[in-house]
Amino acid sequence: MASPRPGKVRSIARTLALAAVLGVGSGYVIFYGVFPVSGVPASGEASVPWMLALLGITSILVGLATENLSEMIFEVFIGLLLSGGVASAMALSPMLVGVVFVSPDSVPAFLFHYGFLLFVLGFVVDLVGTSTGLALREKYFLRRGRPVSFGPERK
Amino acid sequence: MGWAARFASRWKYPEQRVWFLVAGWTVLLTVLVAVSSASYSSVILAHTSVELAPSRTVSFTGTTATGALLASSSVNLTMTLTVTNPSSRVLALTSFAYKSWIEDLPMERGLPNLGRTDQVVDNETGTHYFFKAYLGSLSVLPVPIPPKGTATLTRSFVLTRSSDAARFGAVQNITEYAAQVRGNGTVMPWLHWVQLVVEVRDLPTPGPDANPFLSSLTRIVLEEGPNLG
Repeated sequence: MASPRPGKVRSIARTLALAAVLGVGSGYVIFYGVFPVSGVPASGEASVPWMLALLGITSILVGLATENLSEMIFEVFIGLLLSGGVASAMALSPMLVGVVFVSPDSVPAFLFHYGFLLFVLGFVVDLVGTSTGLALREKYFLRRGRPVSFGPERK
Repeated sequence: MGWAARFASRWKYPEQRVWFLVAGWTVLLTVLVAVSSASYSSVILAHTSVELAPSRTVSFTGTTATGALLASSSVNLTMTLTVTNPSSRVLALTSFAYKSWIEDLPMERGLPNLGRTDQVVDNETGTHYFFKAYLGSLSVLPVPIPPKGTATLTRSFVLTRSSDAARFGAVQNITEYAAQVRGNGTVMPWLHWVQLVVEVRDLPTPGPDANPFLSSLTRIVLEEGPNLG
C-alpha cells in the first residue's frame, strides 16, 4: 500500500489544526453566551460585540493561515463540530474537581438548545471571516519565496 | 534594533508570521477557556458543597404550672441558621422561609380540634397529625459568608394571641390537652422546615431577560426538614 504523500499529510494536519482553533474560539463563545456570569469578562448578559470580535479575529487569522478554499470549507465544518465539543467540555469541567451535578449526556443537548443561535452565529462568522482571511492572504500578504526584510535594506 | 524587531526578524516569511499570530491567539483563547471553566467549576462546587446546619428552640412563657398556655402567654421560636461555605466563592445569605408544626395530640385522639386543618404524617409509628403553628418568609440584610468560612443568622418569632389568634388558639388547645394527659404541655413534638437562599456575591447579577437557569446559577437554595405543606 502506498503511503500518503507528505504534502497531503501536511494539508490534513494544517486543516485539523486550524479547525481546532476555530473550534476553541466558537466553543468559548457558545459557553460565554450561555453562561456569561462565569465567562471572561464576567457579565450579567453576554456582550455581542465581544463575541463577534472573538469569532471575527479567530476566523480571519485562520483564513490567513489557510492555503485554499477547500481546506477552508473543511476547517469551518470541522470547527463547528469541535465548537460543540469545546463548549460541552467547558460545561462539564466541574467533573475535573469531582463534582457530578448533571447527567453528562444531557449537557450537549442543553448547550445546543440554549446556544443554537450562537452555533449559527459562529458558523456564519467563521465562514465570512475565514473567506476574508483567505482573500487577504491571496491579495496582500503572501509573496511566496520572498523573505520580508526588517530594517534598512543592504545595497 | 529593538526586541520586537529582533524577534520579528526570526520570522522572515509572511506564512511564518501568520502562524505565529495564530499560535498566540490560540494561547489567548485557551487561557479564556481555562479561566472560564475554573470560574464555572467553582460556582458549581459552591452549589454542591454549601451546607446548612439549622437549630431551633421553642420556648413557652407565661404558662400554667403544667405548661398549658394562657391567653397572655407566648410561644417563642428561635432559629439559628449556620451556613458553611467550603468553596472559594463569596456568598451571602439573603432570605429564608420557614414552617414549624406542633403535633396535634387532641386530633390524634379523635377529640374536637376547633376546626383546624392538620397535615398528616404516616410513618412506622403510625399516623400523626401536625398543626402548622409558624410560617413565614423574610429577606434579611445580606449576611456575608466568606470563602472557606461560615456565617450564622439567628431570628426569633413570637406567637401570641394578638399576633395570630387562630394559630395561638390551636397551640393553646394542644398544650392544654398535653398538660392534662402528659402532665407537661410544653414538651410536645415539633417538626421544622427551613429554606434558605444564598447568593453568589462575586458574580454579576444576570440581566432581567436572562434565562432562569442563569439566575439559578447565582442563587443557591438550601432546604432542611420535611415540608408538610
